[in-house]
Amino acid sequence: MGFPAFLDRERTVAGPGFNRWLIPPAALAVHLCIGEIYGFSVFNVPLTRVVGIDKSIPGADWTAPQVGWIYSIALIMLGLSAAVFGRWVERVGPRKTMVASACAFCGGLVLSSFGVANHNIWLIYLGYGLIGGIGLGLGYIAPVSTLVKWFPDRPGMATGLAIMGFGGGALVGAPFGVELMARFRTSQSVGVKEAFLVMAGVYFVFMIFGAMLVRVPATGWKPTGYVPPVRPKKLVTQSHVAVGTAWKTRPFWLLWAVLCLNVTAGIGILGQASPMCQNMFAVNEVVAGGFAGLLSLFNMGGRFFWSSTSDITGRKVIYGIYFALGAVLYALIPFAQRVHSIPLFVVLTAVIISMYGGGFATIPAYLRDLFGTMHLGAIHGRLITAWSMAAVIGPQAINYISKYQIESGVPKAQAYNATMYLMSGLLAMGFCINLFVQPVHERHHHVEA
Amino acid sequence: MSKHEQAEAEAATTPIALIVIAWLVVVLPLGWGVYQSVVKSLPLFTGK
Repeated sequence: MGFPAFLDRERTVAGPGFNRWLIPPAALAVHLCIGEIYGFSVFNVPLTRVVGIDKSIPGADWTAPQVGWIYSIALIMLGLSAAVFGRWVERVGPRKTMVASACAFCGGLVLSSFGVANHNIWLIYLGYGLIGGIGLGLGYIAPVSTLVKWFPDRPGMATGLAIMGFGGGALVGAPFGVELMARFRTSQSVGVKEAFLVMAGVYFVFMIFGAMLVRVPATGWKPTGYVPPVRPKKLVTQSHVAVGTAWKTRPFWLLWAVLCLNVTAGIGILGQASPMCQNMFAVNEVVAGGFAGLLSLFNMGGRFFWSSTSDITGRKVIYGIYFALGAVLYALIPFAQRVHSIPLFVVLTAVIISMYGGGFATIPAYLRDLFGTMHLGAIHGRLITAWSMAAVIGPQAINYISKYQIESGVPKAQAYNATMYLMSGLLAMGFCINLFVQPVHERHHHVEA
Repeated sequence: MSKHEQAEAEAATTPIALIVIAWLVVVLPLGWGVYQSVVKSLPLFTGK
């Protein structure tokens, strides 16, 4: 690949005195940057006004569904690259992966800036979507697998810590993007192209900082005083399953469906947070950006809270809670809109998003329980294709169903209600599927030659 | 190496300052993001 030797896995093995609490900030430095994708909705409206500046000009400006595809392509590529490069990531280690991620993600932002400047949406699909999406996938799985290996005593908390950063990315990315657009906005520009360029530079520095900080534990390393449990829980294996075998097992595909449904439901709100809030409650762009940021706060907090809780309750129980409670809360959103209660709407969506984040953060620990740690990163990478599927279903479903409803004469504020009931039904399906998850059969366990 | 010795080695090798700085580098921008989000979302609750 032509990378310098100091990025090799062998050069990043930690010495005996290395403190593992340096790994969470390394992971956060990368995930906080790539998690910017969750705040992308603040660019949605400005991107539909690149020509008209003050308002969108039909026929000349891009439409909302066209812009919506940027987000979806990026998440599709996230899943595909995580699946395809999972083995490579495990082989070369987290540092080289993080550098590759920084180059792809930030390079994609630069290319997208040119796309906006030339009003060529295909350049943005290629830059932010395709290339940037590969950066998302690489950056996502590298520190997750590394943190699990550093924290074998608290896998749920560890995965929560890692993935918390991704959820928190919009907290920084959304207001950062809004501030930059405001600073660069002129009568000739909505400020998006300049914002993309600045973000590329700043995020690159942060991601390289994380890459330089990260280390992998030496073979056989254990935390001081850690003793593996003598009698593990029913769903927790002490064996390992190879990635080539894992993806052919029933539990893998059940978890794939569980993740897909959980993400579809959450991403439907998160990806369209800003315009949805504006349409349902007629708030302005700045407040809607704040709503997106507030959701990200719960998305981030939920990752740490719910995933850490799963260390106590077990993964199957916690997913049962995500699905059952989520289904009820989604069904209540149309009521919140009907009584025009913004606080109720915010509370409902915040809890839903916290469990959506929790679902993301808990899945690596669920995989670790069922398949062991040998190929955890690669198995996790393949499972993330479920996220890609959800990236298409969630935002596009909301976009097209609400657009169809508006065109059919439904008031703009009520156009999202049908989608909310649909999401509730998807979560109910997820609840049933999770009930079928069982331990992986012994015949699939890896046997040392 | 005993647990005590290992704990001592860990404490001796990784400078606390490095851990603090590393956390600050990520917590400060995150804190700014949290602050911005809370301030900008207040009108959601006040209705203004």
